[in-house]
Amino acid sequence: MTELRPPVAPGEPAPDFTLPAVDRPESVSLADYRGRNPLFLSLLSGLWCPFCRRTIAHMGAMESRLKEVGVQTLGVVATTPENARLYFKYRPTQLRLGSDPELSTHRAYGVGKLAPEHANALETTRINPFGDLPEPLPAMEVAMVIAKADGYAETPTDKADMERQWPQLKAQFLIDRAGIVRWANIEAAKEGAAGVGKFPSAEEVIAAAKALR
Amino acid sequence: MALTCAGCGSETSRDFAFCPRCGQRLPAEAGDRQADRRHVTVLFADLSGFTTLAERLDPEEVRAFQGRLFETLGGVIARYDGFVEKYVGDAVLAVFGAPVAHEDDPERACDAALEMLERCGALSREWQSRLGQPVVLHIGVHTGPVVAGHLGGAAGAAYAVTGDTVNTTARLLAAAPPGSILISGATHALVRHRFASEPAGELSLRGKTEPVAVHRLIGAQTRRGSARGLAAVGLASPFVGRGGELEELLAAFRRMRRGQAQVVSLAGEAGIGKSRLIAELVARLERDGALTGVAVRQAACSSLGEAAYGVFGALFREGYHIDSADSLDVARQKLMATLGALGARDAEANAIAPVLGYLLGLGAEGAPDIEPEQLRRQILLAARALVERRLENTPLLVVVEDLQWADRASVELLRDVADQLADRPLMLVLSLRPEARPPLLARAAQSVVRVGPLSDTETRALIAGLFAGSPDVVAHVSDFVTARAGGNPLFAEEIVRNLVARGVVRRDGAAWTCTAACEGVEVPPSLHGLLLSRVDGLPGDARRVLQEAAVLGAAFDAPLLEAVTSAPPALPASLDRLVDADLIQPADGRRYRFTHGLVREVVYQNLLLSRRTEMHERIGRALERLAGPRAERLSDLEALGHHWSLSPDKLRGARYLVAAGDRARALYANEDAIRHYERALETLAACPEGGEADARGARERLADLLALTGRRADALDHYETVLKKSELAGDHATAGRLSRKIGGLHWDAGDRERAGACFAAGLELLGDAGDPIERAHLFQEMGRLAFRAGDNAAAIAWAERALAEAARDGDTPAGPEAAAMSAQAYNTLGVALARTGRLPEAVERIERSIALAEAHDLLAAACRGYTNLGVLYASLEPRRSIETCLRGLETAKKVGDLGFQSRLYANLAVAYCALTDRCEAEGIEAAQAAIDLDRRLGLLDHLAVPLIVLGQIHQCHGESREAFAMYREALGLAEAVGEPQLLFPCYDGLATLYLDAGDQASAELYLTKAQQTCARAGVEPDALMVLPFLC
Repeated sequence: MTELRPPVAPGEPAPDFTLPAVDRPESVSLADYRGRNPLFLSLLSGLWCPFCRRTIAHMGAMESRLKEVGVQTLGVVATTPENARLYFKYRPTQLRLGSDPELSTHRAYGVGKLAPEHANALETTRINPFGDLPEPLPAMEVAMVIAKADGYAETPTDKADMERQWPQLKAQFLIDRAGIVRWANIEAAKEGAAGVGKFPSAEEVIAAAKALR
Repeated sequence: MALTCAGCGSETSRDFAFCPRCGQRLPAEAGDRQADRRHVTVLFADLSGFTTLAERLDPEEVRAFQGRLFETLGGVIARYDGFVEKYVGDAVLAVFGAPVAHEDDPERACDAALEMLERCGALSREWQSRLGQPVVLHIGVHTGPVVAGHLGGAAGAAYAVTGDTVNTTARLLAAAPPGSILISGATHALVRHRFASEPAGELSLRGKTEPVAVHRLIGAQTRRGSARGLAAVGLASPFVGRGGELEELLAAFRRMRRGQAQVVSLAGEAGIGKSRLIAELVARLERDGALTGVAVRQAACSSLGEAAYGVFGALFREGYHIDSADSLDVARQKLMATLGALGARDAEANAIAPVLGYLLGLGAEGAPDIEPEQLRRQILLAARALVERRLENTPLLVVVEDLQWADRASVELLRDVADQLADRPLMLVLSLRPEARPPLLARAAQSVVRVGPLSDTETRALIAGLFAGSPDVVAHVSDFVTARAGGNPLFAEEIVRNLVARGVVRRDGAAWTCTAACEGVEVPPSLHGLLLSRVDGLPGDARRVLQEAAVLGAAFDAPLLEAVTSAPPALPASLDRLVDADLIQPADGRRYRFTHGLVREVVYQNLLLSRRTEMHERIGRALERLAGPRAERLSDLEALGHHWSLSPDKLRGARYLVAAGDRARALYANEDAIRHYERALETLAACPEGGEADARGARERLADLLALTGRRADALDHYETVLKKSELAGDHATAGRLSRKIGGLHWDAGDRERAGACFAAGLELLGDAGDPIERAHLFQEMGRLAFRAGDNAAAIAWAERALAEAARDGDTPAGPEAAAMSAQAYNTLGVALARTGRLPEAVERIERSIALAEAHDLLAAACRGYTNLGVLYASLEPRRSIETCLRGLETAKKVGDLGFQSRLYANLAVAYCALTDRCEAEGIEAAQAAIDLDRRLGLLDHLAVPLIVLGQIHQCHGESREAFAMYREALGLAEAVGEPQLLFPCYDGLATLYLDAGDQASAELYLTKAQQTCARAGVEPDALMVLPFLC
């Protein structure tokens, strides 16, 4: 994996991308918006994350309100176009979505993985999910104990998926007509109470969009 | 307050036990002693074959023999301070422990029985020629509760004991073969450390299902075991605390070795650990090698009292190997031989010889005719010579235990010898009770070490040491034992021993286990005499005050005692006297408490039931006067409930107990409230008449709290009982309410159908004209049920109907019941509106619900509001979502509502994971807390929620294996309940897991199911994604 650049900051030009679109058999790129509309770009992880699925539903509700202030919305999901198409066949959405299982867009925008000190929490948080362990164990160990008890052997694909996808951070950018990033929100970039409201509220994004004018 | 001696007719003070004029034993304030309940040992003895003897002999001869026999037996009983209840024919019935208790009454009875057999043997030999046949006694001995007092109550009436204990003793006597003593298992358990016996089978008694074990008493045991041992049940007490006291003793020992005589008095109450401290001192010195070349002499004084110089004689016999059976001549020879060996001159030995009888404790047998003062000087000279001769060879450590029972002559002798040998290596260690005065030394170094109670921590360490390796038992009994033992290790050990004897604590292989709660275990029988003897020794006024205080409780206010005491003027002096006797202690303010919980219990149990109920009533009235017309303080209500429930007016007590429960509940002291309601029910069950409606009320309140605190099955039982009784009583309003509550419990258990049936039954019971608020409650419940079943339109309709029904008889319904109903209805309305996409309206309704609930202090209803509002805010104002969840959690904890705690934990987990980066640390923990609670409480309608949340967290982390397991378990529960908002996330989660695993076919199957669920419920999938788990 190439060395990760720092996240794109407001004032910097937004890196270009072209991805297969989920809702139609063509591609979607940043160039589609440049010179026409400001763009609210949301870099998501895969559909495996229930909280991301929730975010997509949430964005669906926000999309029309952003449109009212002239902002288009595009989500990038880290899953194959086939998977995404199957899922959204059953969950029709107004959102435009691009598919990027390789996370190349995330890397281009400098959105990396969860910092190690956060990932460590998984090794120190003790749980006993089924109440059948003699005592609560660190979350990572529980996974191993349970896998062992079930006779479950991890396949190379599972492992590759895990390493590829987890714990990938999520981020949102507001890009103006000229293709310059004007507002950015990177998951886990801020700590403590500021961590509340990881996915920005509609009000926050709309306020930022209005400031573009 | 004078007493007339029956012997010489002189007036004497009540403080004397014997008439100072003629020496006759004075009745132990028999005149003012009321009848009481007590544990005594009863001895029944009679002659075998007396009837045939009486047939054969002249009545005059029989009468003469009877006279001699009774005189002999009476003498023996008097020697052990027993009480002859009556002589019948050739039989004697004696009681040990009444009218005055001793700490060793069972032992006294056995000693007396053995001596009676022996004396009767001598009498038989003496009378053989006149009677023409030998006569032989047989004896039965049993220990148990009796009522003791003057029959008829008049002072002159015969003092008698009544109870089954006497009958049982008679049965033992009947079963005892000629020449034998049979003791019951109860007595045996109390004397086995001192007497040898053998099992003698079992005796079946009338009216008892279980036969009682019987033992034949053989004789005193030669080797005295520890009277206070737990060894019999296989427990060994650790030596706890006493570091300072032991250090003082060791320092005195070191000073003694440097040639400075030391007298150390260990003062402390019975059982406080004086003997153990001495044993530890000797063991420690032995371990350190410090006792090499030191002579150690030990003597213990008997509670029966000692003859003049008896204690000194015992010490001295031990040193000179003189047996108590040796004649004076043999003793003299042994003395001379030993003195010679120690290097004494003849003159010295000759000075001792004339007073040897005194020094051996044999008294003035053949003593020379010397003036008493001169005799005393000669005895001192001889004693000093004996000790001095020993000290020339080795240092000497003398231990005398229970000095309070020693004869004065011995105490003075020991004191004078120590003073005269103050510059010699002599150490006296004396143990004595606090009421006895330590000897005052003139020259020898002396110190008094007060052996006080153990701290609570030390008592706990003692218990932990007893049950090392069984921490569960320690946790189970520690508080119980510590609270009652008052820092007295003997009490602690005996309480433990009693717990073992009662089977509350049982040996299980190498460890111990608990089989029952400690509550309701009475005062250990082994301590009865010890405790009661301290009370019996009190003057009448003080004893009565102590009894009145015991009825008040373990701690009591002096003003209240003043209000109920039968002799107010004597109260201050009596309280001082009781404090001096260390039976009670002043606490803060004008409050006192019993030094030992056990003392209070034994005093209370000592009272006749009739006296107790009369006292409780008197206290109840006094409390009512003191608390004013409307008692509101919880402590007042508790006290009123306690005393009235034990008075003849039990109904009044039960009502106070219910009031105390209500008050406790209002303060969210749920466990206390449960206790009060349960006690109210027990009291009502014992009410001779009435109280039926009160019992229904108390039972419903109890069930409310049991349901709230997660004991659903018990709550259901109680509700069903009240429902049945309300229907019988034609109380439709109550029956309707009960149906609603029962339905609610079924819904918690995931049984939607039964819940609905209960609500419908409730509406039917009420009828169209029924109480509007109660009907509204049921409409609201129907609405909630509809919402949970996914029928939002119906839910809205029911909730609106509920609000309209409550306003049926006016515009705005008032009162807490109406507010509770409205708060719930607004909530139901709110969640149904939210589900149909009308979010701002939904928030408004739920905020209104919370405001209403808080205004009326209906925190349980507020919990539901917070739970839902937290979910709604998650999409509107994420920041407020977590705040709301935390606020709700705080409220649920205050109320003690575990069900809402679980819901709020689950919502909090979602909020953390969806809105913050604290998913790993706090989200998992919150979800896990909710799962644990739901499993523990059996809340199957909710368990699916935290399982889904944890499944989502696992899925998010790529732990698909665990996520699958969680979703599958949740799906099983969700399908049983059929709730769309539970089914949807399970299907959605499983579909995406399959999607990720590359199994598109399975993914599509679950996506279809998810879609169908939404279609059936008429909701958008996004609504269930963004607003999960409304209730």
